[in-house]
Amino acid sequence: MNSKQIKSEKSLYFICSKYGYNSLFRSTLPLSILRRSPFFAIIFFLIVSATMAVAGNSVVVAADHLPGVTQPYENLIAAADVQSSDDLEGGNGLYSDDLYGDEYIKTPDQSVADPLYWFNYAIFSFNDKLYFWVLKPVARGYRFITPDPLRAGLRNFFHNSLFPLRFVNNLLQGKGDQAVSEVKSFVINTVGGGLGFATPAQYVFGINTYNEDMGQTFGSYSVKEGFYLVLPLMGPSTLRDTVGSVGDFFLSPMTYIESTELAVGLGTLDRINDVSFRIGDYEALKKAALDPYISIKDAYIQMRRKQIQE
Amino acid sequence: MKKIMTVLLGILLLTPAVPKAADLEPEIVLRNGVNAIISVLNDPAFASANQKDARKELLFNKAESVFDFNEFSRGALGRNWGRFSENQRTEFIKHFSRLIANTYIAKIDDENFEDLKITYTKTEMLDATKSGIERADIATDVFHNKVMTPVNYRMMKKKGGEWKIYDVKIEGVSLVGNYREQYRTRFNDSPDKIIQEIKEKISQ
Repeated sequence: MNSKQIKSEKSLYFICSKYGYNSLFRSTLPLSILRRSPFFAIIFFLIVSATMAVAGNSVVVAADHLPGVTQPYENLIAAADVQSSDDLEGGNGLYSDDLYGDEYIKTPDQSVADPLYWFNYAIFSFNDKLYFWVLKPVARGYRFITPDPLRAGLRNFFHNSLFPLRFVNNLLQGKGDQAVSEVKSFVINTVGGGLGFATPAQYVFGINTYNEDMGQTFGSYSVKEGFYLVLPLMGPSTLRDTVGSVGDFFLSPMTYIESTELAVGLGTLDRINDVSFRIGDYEALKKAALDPYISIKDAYIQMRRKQIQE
Repeated sequence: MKKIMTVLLGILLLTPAVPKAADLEPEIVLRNGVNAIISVLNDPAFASANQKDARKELLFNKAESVFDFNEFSRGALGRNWGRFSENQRTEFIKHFSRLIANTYIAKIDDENFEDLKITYTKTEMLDATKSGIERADIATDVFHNKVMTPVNYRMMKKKGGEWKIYDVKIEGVSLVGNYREQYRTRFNDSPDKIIQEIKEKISQ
């Protein structure tokens, strides 16, 4: 069948994506000096990542031990967990069947701390309004006036253009076979697919692409998440993934477009085009949740852990 | 170049999918369950607006036969399950299954299902639990509206029972695990309050 799709398409993408918001990141941060000079860019990135590698994990450790730094609930929960563990065998006795294994029984070690809860919550509310008031209506109008093949083509084009990012991160994670697939896909789609608007590499040759980013690369080196962060425009992240996205920024070709107008324009188009494919997903997730903030936090963490594990 | 591509594409499309040597039992049960749901969605008898409620009920019944909402609820409540009385549990299961079904059925209802395609990529038998409940993980790729979403189903079979779904993971995000995380901090809320909250959520 011919419905082989590029594996980048995520339904949680708007809320949880790495790439989608990079485009806005790219266009909103005043990093023009860094953009002009790759040398400074590399130095800057090395410093940031080194700092994070050292500090990132110790922040978590510190956060676990300082009262008041973590959410006040954490200690209570830990206590309640211990207390109620006897009850587990109670009821009709079925709970002791570890159906869900140890998989989602979160110990303090497994869950990601949220020391900036109030800040994060404010940004979360802001992003929510931004989606309903701006992003969604714009993406809807855009979907209405733009033919489907063009939207798909643009999505393919932007995906293809992020080849350097995927390639480097596949290499950094020692995934040689995947890096080779990336090269093949990039060459075939760029040449045979008109700069990547069509995807003969996927449709005809069945070559996959593999979304790997800096955050995942750090994760594969056993760097912990640090703590949870919600970023304006970009959505859920963690300390590790935020630092990673700085690295990704420099691996995105659009960073090196000279004209700021063009860079901003393309970044916005990428984002709107992307959202136009997943209108309704965020709404459904929110509707199903009892606490949307926690639901989205957990979804992001679970999704990233799965990606790193793969 | 274009010609070659067309020919290659043609060959690709004409090649029938290679049938697997032996489909595992849970996968067959899942396929049947999912197909039953899709056939309701595609049934023109239910397409008109005044049939919407009837269709919703039918979809819920079909879902109930493959999903074990009992285990869903237990898993979602996590440690809080122990605080619920027998009656409260029944109440919770009743409303919680409605909440999940409503969310997804509502989403399904305003979408076009002509280009829906599901491929079953991998079925893996997991270790049985201590008390001998068999478990399986079934990986699928769902293609819809030009978007591919990986969906994994967790299925289990109790002794003398049937294979049922006890968790769904969409892009690696476990539905049960997500609710469990939301309920994790609710140990001070009474079971009645938790049930009431779901009722309100449904009526919204």
